[in-house]
This record gives sequence, structure tokens and C-alpha cells, in this order.
Amino acid sequence: MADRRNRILVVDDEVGMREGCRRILAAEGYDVETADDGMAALERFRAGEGFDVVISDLKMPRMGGMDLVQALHEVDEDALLLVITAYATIDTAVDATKRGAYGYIPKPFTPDELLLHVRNGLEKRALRIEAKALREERESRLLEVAFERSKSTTILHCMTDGVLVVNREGHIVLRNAALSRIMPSCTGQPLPTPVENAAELPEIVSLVMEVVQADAPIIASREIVIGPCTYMVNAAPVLEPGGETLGAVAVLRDITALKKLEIAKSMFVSMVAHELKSPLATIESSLNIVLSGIAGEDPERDRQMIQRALLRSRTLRTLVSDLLNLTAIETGNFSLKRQHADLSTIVTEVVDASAERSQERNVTLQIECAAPTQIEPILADPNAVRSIVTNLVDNAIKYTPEGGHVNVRVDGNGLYARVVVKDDGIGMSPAERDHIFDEFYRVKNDYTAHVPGTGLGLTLVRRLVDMHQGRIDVDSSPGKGSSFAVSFPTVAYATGL
Amino acid sequence: MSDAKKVLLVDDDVDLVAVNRAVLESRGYSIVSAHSGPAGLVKARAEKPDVIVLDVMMGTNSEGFDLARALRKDDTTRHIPLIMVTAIHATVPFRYEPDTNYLPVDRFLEKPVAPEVLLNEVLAVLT
Repeated sequence: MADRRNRILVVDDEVGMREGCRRILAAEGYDVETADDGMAALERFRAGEGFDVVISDLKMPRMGGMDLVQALHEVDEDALLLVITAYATIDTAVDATKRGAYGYIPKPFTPDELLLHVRNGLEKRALRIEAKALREERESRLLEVAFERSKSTTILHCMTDGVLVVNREGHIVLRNAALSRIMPSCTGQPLPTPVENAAELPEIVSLVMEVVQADAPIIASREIVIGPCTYMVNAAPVLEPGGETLGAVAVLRDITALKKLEIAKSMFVSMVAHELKSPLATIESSLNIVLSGIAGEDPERDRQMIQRALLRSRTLRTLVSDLLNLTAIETGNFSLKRQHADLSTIVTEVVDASAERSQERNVTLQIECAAPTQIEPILADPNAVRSIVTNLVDNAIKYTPEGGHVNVRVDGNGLYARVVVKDDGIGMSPAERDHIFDEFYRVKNDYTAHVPGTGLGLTLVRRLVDMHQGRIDVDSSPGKGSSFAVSFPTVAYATGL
Repeated sequence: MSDAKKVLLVDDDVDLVAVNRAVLESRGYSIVSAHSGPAGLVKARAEKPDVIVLDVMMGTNSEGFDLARALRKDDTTRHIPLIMVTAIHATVPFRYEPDTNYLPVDRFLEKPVAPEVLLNEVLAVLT
């Protein structure tokens, strides 16, 4: 403000008066402008020209000084106006100040009188502006504080965890929206309320009171079941800067999903244990019979038992390696080494390797590949693809009775290359088909009872196909056979070319 | 021998059935077998065995239990002693004990069942 020259507007319809005032004030270093009536003055204010002081005559055409006072304050409430009047009566002066004028100068006046009035007015204005700035600052701080508080409250109520604060007397002094959802009985109670009244749960009461009444600050945690949900409740002391306990804050986190996962995991472990233990028990029993001779001597039967025990051991080994692979996929420790691969080549290798087994079982195994131009290279991990195809071909041979057929076909459509393994074996009902990708699921009937299997092969196939962004389609009907079609994205499709 | 006692073995593990068959046949028992709960019920009604040895876990985790209850409801099989065999003892935190309501069996054995134990148990429920 100090760098800026004070601006003064002189409003008078008499050019002599206007000019006289202008000269006096300009000589003192003020920046002086003039207007010939109230309306002209108002227009300059409205146009955004700021003036520190307005010196105005009372009697003017269009708009006089009295009206100007009022109109001016509507545009700029800090505008400071001095009225010059020849009719200097107390009434006029009172009227002008009532309407918002700072003061009045009776005509005639000396240059010094004018300057004195202007200086006083400017001082007054500076004080007024300073006071206003202070007031505004205080108000904005208050707003800030209020905003901070409402922000914390908003955050507290937006939290998904329930929050409960109790004082040393064991009264609830704060609870958030999530807590009210968790414990609806707590909602209606006005605060502070004894924790016993609100929390119908003795466990939470005892937990927070444990923290409140502890000699030294402690943190207490407990899993608490409320209705269908399980919560992990952590209670910590609320400490004064001096270190004294003021109360306790408890946070309730919903861990229901984690608990379910935990149960699913332990069920899986017990399934695995069962899947391992049953065949081991059988192998043990078989070997025991042969070695102990308790069932009498029968060399042919003994040989068969040992052979079956050997077969079961191999299945167990497959089970363990399938499990390791599945676990690696689940834990993210299995990564595909995707490269350009030719599906026909991999499928042909698998079929060749399975030829002997199909002959043993007297099942006809055939392969048929569409024209090479039709089967574009796929973006896949060859070992994973081999594992997928091997599983499907093995299954087809295993679940097809003697004299049956397994037909393997490779084709493609530019977006996908596809292998279809089709058999005329025992097939599945729709209900069974819905579960074949489940862990340890095996179709159980008099035929499958004699077929060794882990119940994990197709689970693994499904995971590997998913990892390739491929798809697997199953078509099957009991007694007629099954068809498994696996499609892999081609290099062109996978890379968006 | 025509007065041979008949044992029905119900287990989805064909190799285990073969082992138990060998053990029991060597002591003069006549053996019939089934590899699922429903097949076991059909066999039990048709063959009227003197004792039934069944596995808990077959197609579903409780197929053995279901079969045991079905056998107890059926007038033609109600009286046949049941010996239940399972591999799940070690994997559940509690032990099953024979219970006339929930688990209507006479004996509960854990896999693998030693041949002598199987023979003793079968003999015990027959006398």
C-alpha cells in the first residue's frame, strides 16, 4: 500500500471546485481523478477503478452526494467518502454519515482543512482494511480447523474397520459407522455409554478393559466371532502426552474371508493327506501279504499284487509332482516360458510316446493334422503344452475300454490352434462333467475303480490352459465317449498382429 | 465248504479289496465285493453276507456313512455286522467312535489294517 500513491476521486459539477481540489491534492502527491456528477463517479467504480477516498459535492445533476454514498457502498463496502457542502447544517452532516459517509467538509474550506480531512480519512481507511484482513484471517483459520475436524471424522466414518474408543471408566466415547454396522445394538446408545451396555459381547468388553486397567501400556488382540463374521480385534491404550492411560481404542477388522481361506487350506491339506495315505496303505497291505505269507502261497497272485503296488507307487509319484506343479502355479512360482511353438509337432510327439500304452490296452490311437498352413504357430510354453496334451491322451486311453478308439486332431483358424482328443470310451454324465476340473475329483464307477488316477491331472490342465489364455471345451455322454478340445492363441492373435 | 461265512468288501480301492479278499479267503471265508456305496447296498441285499467291511471315503466323503445308515434302515440288512475302515483318522482333529444313531457300525478300523487285525475283527463280530 505504501508503494502505491493514494488515489482520490473528486466529484463536483462545478469545474472550478473540481479543479481547485485536484490541484491542492495533486500538489501533495496524491493521484487525483475527477468526475462531474455522482453517476459518472459510480460508473468509474463499477468499471473497476479503485479509489481510496471520494470527495463529493452534495448537490449535483443526475446523482447527488447523498445517493452516491449509498450506491458506492453497494459496489465497494470499504469506499471512504467525504461530503463537501455549502449547506452545512448538522442535519445534513448526520444524514450523510448515517448513509455511510466518513465525514463532511463545509464550504468554504482552506487547502489545509481539505488535506487534514483527506489524511484522517486515509488513516481511517488503512486501519479499517487492516482490521478486515485480520478478521478474515481468523475466520479462515477457524474454517480450516473445522474442516480438519470434519475431515478426520469423515475418514473415521469411511473406514471399513470398526473403531471403538472407551475412557478410563469403561464408557464408550467414540464409535465409527463401521462399528455401528458390526454391532447394531451399540448404535442407538447416546455417548458416553458404559461399554457393557453397548457391546453385547463380553469378549470385547474384557479386551478393552484389560488394556484400560493394565499397569503398563499393553496391546491386546483377540479373534472374536460376531454373527456369521470373524473379527480380529486389536485394542491399544490411548495415552496422554505424560504417558498416563486415558482409555483404549479398539479396531475391529473383518477377517471372515481369511478364515474361510484358512479352512479351505486345511481341508485341502487333509484331502492331500487322504489321497496320499490311502494308496500308501494299500501298497503296504499288498507288500505285507506277499512277504508275510499270511494269505498262503500263490505265486501268480503275489506277482499281480506286487505289480499293482508298483503301479500305485507310480501314480503316487505323479500325484506328488502334480501337486508340486499346482502349488507352484498357485503361489506364482511357476512361470510359462512362452515362445513360438508348433502345436502339431508337440501333439505328434505325445501321440508317438503314448503308442505303446494304447497297444497294451488294445485301444486304437490315431492322429490327424490339418494342412500346415491352417495351423499357425502358437505363443506357448512347449513343456506346458506337452503336459496338457499328455494328460488328455492318457485319460482318453485310460477311460476307453479294450477295442475302443482315441482320435487326436490338430487344426486351427488363424486366431487359435486347437487340439481335440476324442474317444469312444465310458464318457461322463453332465453332473460328473461339472466337477472334472476340481481338485481330487474322480468319476467313480465300477470301471473307474480299476483305473489309477490322482484326481489332479485335469485340474493342472485347466490351470495351464488358463495361463495361456486358451480355452478348453468338453463334450461327453455316458457310454458314448468324451471329447476334450484345447485352443491356444496363435502368435499373431496373442501379439495383436 | 457250503457253510463258509460270507464277507462283503465295499471299497473303491480295488487293490485293497484284492488284498483283503486274499487274506479272508485263505481262512475259508467266501468273498463278494463292491466298489461304491450304491453297488454295496445292492450286493448286501442280494448276497446277504454275514459281515460287511466298508470304507468311509468313496465317491463322496461320506459314502461309507451313507451306506451304513442305508443298511441299518433296510430290514434285510439291518442285522448284518458292519466293520468300517478309513484312512481319515489321522487327518481329522477328532476320532470317530461307533454310535448307534449317527454312526451305526460295530467296529471302526484305521487303514492300513493289518491282516491279523482284520481276521480278528471279522471273527469277533461273527461270534
